[in-house]
Amino acid sequence: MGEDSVSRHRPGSCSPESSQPPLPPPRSPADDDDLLSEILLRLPPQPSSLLRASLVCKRWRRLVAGPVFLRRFRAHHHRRPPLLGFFIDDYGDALFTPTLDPPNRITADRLSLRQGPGERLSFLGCRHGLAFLLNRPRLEALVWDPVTGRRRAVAFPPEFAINQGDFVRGGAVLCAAAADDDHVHVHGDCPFKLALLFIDNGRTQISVCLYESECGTWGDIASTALVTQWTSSVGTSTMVGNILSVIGGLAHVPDNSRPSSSFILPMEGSKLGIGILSGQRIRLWERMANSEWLLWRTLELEKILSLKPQAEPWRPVVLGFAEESNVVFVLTAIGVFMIQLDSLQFRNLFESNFVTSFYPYTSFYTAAFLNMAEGPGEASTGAEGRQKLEENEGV
Amino acid sequence: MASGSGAAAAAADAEEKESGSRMITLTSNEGKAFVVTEASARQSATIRSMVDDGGCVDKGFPLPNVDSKTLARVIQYSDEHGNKEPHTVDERAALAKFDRDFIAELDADKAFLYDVTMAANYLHIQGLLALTTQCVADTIKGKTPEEIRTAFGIEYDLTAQDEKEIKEEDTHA
Repeated sequence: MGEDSVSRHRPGSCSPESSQPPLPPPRSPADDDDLLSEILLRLPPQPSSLLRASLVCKRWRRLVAGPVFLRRFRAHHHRRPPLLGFFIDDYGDALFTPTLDPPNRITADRLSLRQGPGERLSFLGCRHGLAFLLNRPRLEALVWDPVTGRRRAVAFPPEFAINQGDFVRGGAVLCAAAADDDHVHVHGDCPFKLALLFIDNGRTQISVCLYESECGTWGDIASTALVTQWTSSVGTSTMVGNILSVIGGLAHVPDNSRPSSSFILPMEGSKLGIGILSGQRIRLWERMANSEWLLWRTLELEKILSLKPQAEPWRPVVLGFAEESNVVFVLTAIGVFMIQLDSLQFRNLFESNFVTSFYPYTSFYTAAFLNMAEGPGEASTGAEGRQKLEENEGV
Repeated sequence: MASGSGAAAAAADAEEKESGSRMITLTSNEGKAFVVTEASARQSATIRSMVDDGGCVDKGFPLPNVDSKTLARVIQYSDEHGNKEPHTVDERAALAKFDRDFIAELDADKAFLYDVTMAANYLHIQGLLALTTQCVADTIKGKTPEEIRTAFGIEYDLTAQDEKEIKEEDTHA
């Protein structure tokens, strides 16, 4: 990552700086801009890291707001942004709940979206820092960047624009540059792709249509028979490698017990995985090359979460899955847990008995710094309100 | 690591065709000469490019920005990483342990850590730079802006508006 700068040293001379008198040496590594970049890009990817660095002094502020630095910061963290929290769809309002502790906690107000007059929004999910919603009365798909607040509306393809859009049942957004490994870009204003799902009135067929913002047009519609055994998960999607996988139907469910909820998860080597919650356990399956399912892991929820036996029978529910951090949100008898599937570390978020979809949101949250860098010279104060992190309000 | 011997470098020149077996002299800003293997010196991209450009090996390399104490420590790292090539799992683990011990020792003496960090940057020793800058980053982690300013002796130059933000930010610390 620092291999770019050797040329500064004029190969051929016998001392690295022999053609000019040596400058007075800096007192600490932080006095040198290049070295300070090297240090700051190794800070943890949590929101408070760069925010605090930006409040040290003008020079630090300028440095962390630079697009070159921010690209390197993302690259250093392997484009694995932290999970900031999740959205729920509250009758059309997109309400954010932070899951990080202070000082990384971002206020609910900062990232929530209230619908305007005449809107009826439905939240579909987030990916690559963007949220995807439907605005059915206007027959529009809506791509919203919660950090910058930017909204971009895309009219439904004509075939889907019937019956007030009620047959549009799901969809997904992704950054158009996400498949490009070399392109560690700053998510926000980048081109995006949409997938929109349409289920016919008889619920026999599922159709998908793809949109690319760069050409501004919808592609052909592809359809297949709808054969899923359970319907609540239809339309949920996960990126597996560079492929967007959507639950549209599973002819051969690996788990022949009665599943209550499921989610697609990316497995190592860009293999397709599926998590199926049945009774008190989540089974994680991996799709083999021969299309067979291999049981990879069984999570006994009561054991993992050390739950005491409950007087009343209860059934856990998967509320959401964060593909970028491999975290599943599960509703249990004593509240909502988030469980990291690799480490099995978990956290009891809050008490709840309310079944609703959680739409996890991951972002480096650095767009705030880009806003700050706008305008000539001094950091603008326009974005200050956006950078506020929240005091512990104990959600 | 051998030090103070120009003769050793001259003797080693006899086998200069064998790349990596030549000896190279690095001189600190206090004039102290350190003779190292070429493999060790090549850990530094700065020296590597000058060696590959030819001509300098005989005369050695004066390093006007690096004092003797720092250079000795840098060479300790370069010897470990340049003279050995870990092949087995055990060898890699041993090298990782060397890195851990090396940085733990530096971490206990911040001024020296800073000197080695700056030398790693000046000499472009990528592995050492990653190790030391990560260590400095870890000391910044979790600090408030005020604590960071104190740690690095940075002057306060933010506006009243900035200050307002800082105050709100500090309430979370």
